[in-house]
Amino acid sequence: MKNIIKSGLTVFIIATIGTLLLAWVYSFTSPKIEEQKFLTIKNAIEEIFPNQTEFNEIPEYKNKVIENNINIITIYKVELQDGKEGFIIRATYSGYGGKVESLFGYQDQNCKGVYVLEHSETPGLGSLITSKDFTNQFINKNLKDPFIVKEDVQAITGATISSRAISNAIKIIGKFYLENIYGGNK
Amino acid sequence: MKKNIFKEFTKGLFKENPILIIMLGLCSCLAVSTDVSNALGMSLGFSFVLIISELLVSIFRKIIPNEVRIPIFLIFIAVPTTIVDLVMKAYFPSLSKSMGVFIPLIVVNCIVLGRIEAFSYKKNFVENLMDSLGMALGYSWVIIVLSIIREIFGKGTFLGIRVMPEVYQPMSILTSPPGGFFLIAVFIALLNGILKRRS
Repeated sequence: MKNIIKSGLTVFIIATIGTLLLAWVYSFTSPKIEEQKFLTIKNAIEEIFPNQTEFNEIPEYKNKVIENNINIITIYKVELQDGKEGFIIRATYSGYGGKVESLFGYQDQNCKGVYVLEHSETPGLGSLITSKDFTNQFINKNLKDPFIVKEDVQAITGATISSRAISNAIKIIGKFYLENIYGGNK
Repeated sequence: MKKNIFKEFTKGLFKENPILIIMLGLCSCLAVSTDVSNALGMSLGFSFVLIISELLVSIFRKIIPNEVRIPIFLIFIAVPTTIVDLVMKAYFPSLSKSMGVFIPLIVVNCIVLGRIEAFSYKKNFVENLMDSLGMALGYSWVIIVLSIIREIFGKGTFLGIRVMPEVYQPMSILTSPPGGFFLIAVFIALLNGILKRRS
């Protein structure tokens, strides 16, 4: 009995100290992590819409589940230099190794680009969904296209599931965009 | 006495190399050694975790009750791992992005738990310091050399910069797990051959 209490207490004390230490590290890394995340979002938006002048969040589309496993986090409206507007949809969807978080750029009836923010796909295979060689094929792709891997979408060798996940997400979120945002704006 | 302590350091490099001889932690080793930058990041993260957790165990080993030692070891491994993960996310976002899930997975890396259970729990601080440094260096050199070969011949690049001429057709088998296994096997054969010849 005495042993159990002693063992339990030791684990308890060590776990508490460990947690406190982590809380302390988290307290000064988390603002930095958020800042980095905002910076990558900003850079990604500039990459998808090089002629952007400013972007703002549209508040009514926050945290919206649109289909199984596809979850819109936020939508940004991007003002472009030529007076037109584009939209960036930040969403999560299921990949091969877990959740993938990406930015999807849409303008008119086209996909303007994809930028993967976070993923846990297999390094060296599925992680290539972040590479330009893969994502560039979606630039200016019409949303009416079938978006079927190995037909009109080039898959990454050895990472068909990851490739399919991203192209499905573009298609489904694109459909949502056409029905709710693009149509509603006209 | 002095010589013995030095031996604890050198054994991790070749004679008891964690990857090539003890053959633990092959999964993460294969996964991150496709790029030199990933291998460098992984070696740093792994070394930090291994050294800190071995030292922590050696400091507290007298007060750790035998029957709950494994959960306590895991706390000693998980805390530094999470610190590495958070710091990498905050200061090296691109590196942490390309390493994906393999930094958090250091927690369950068998080398760390294996060393702690087999070595740290029984040895003192200085021996642990030497052992962890040696093991960390032994792990690092193997994955860095592996990644150099795999990146140059498998992708034609080094640290992301193209080094092979344009006509060179990359051997993409090297970037896939079977190619990695094959290379590790070659390494093991070479090291065993050298060690045998020496003795």
